[in-house]
Amino acid sequence: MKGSSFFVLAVILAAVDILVPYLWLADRSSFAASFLFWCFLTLAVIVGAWIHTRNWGKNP
Amino acid sequence: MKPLYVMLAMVVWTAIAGAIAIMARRGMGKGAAEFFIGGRRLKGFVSGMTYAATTYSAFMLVGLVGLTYKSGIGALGFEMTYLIFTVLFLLVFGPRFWLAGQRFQHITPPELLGNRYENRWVAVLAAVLSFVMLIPYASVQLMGAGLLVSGLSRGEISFMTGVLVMAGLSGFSAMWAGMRSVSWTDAFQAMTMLVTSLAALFYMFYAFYGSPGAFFVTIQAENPDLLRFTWEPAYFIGLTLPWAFFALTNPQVSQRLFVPDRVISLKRMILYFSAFGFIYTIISTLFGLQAANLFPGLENPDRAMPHLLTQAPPLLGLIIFVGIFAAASSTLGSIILTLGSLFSRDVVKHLKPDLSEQGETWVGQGAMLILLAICIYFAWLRPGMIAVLSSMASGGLLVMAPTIIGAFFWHRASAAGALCSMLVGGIATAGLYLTQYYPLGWWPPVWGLGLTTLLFFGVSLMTQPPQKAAQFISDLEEDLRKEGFFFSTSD
Repeated sequence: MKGSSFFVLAVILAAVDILVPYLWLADRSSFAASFLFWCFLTLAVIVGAWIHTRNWGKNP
Repeated sequence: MKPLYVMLAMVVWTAIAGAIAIMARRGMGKGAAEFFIGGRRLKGFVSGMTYAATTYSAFMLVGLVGLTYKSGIGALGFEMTYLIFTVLFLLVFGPRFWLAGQRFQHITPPELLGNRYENRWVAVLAAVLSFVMLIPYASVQLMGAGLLVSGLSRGEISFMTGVLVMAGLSGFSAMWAGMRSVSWTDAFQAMTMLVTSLAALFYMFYAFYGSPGAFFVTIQAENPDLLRFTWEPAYFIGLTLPWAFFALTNPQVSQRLFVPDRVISLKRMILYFSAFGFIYTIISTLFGLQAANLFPGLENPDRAMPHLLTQAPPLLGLIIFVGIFAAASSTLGSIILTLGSLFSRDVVKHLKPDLSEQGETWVGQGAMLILLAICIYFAWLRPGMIAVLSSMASGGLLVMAPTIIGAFFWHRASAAGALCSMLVGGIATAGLYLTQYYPLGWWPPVWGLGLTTLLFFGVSLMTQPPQKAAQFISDLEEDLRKEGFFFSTSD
């Protein structure tokens, strides 16, 4: 991953990771709120990592 | 639980892990790189598991369970945020560390910094910061083992017995064959951690609730407050910020980016670790919710998991105990090995450049013994301040983040900027922790990172960058292309 893509992605992820639970999910007392949000966000990042690294090591 | 069972579990566990460490020495070559980073020949699975076992300490099944018990789902957010940023940092910095290690034959992260900034004092300062911050953190692992053993046996096995058994196992594992024995035992310990905790979680589901589904329904009905995100923003950010940068700033994990044998192993290391972290975090959080539902009102939340253990059948209790013991032991062994390599490579080697490779290994092993003795002494003292010092570890190491990021991405980054930011930032952050002074309610890492970043940019702009800084960065970019790291869907 190039540096510029990384910095943009890091800022977006940090904003989503913090703002969504605080603004929309904080008061919901259900597993289908903050719990599920953080699980899905992390899973999305891991799946993204898998897609991103699929061609690592193959000659361009 | 009967002390005999606890003692037997410890002995059997130590014997198995010790045997694995002994086997790991077979086929080991000579030289410092061979000892400290396994000769850069580790495969993907072992690399991923040693990364996971080093990262996830006893904190997960004791501290995180307690945090969930006390404050609910915010604990999951804290730990998942750590994992998200670790994966992101591994994708970006993993290839760069790995390639720099291959190109320049680096063995320790401070050595990489010293080379990039063309200043040996950058390496020395990074190593010293690591000693100051990580020794208390390593001592906490020993204290955790002592408390667990004495608690489980209701005081019949002494605190110091647990401390000494763990110190013996971790020290042996680190000194016998260096990274090879540590990584092999780590892989075994990581699988133990995962399997035992998963088995215990499902046992609890069926024993106390009837099924996993019934557990979720019960928690929503009886403990709805725990599912609300009630953490203050300053608390959440203050706690999470240092951990978000953990992959970069903690040398015991960043050193592991040097160990995979080829690109595919590095890729597998990142993916296996990510999957491990995701599952283990959810398990730990669910244990916390179970404990809160089953045993409300415990005065000390950190007692939640040990309390849960006492309710389990003896065999299951012992299995979880071994899992926690494994988590602490693997983290301790890795820290000791890394600090030994830092002392040998970044401190002694700088003072005595003609030190032979064999001499480096001996110095590292000697340093490990001394470090272990210091950690045992700390654990024996059981100072109240150790908790503060331990939490200071991640916050204190955060001051290295701008220097590490700048090394790879900003050719204007200078040695003076790196030295000034780490020194002043480190002292300021430690000062805030020790005085427990949180200006405007924000935690020391927030101020520390802000100050460090300002100093790093300001001083770098006012001073000359190293002559070959731009070349260092462009060479690595070229290597990234050659090795196929940019041949991916998002670049």
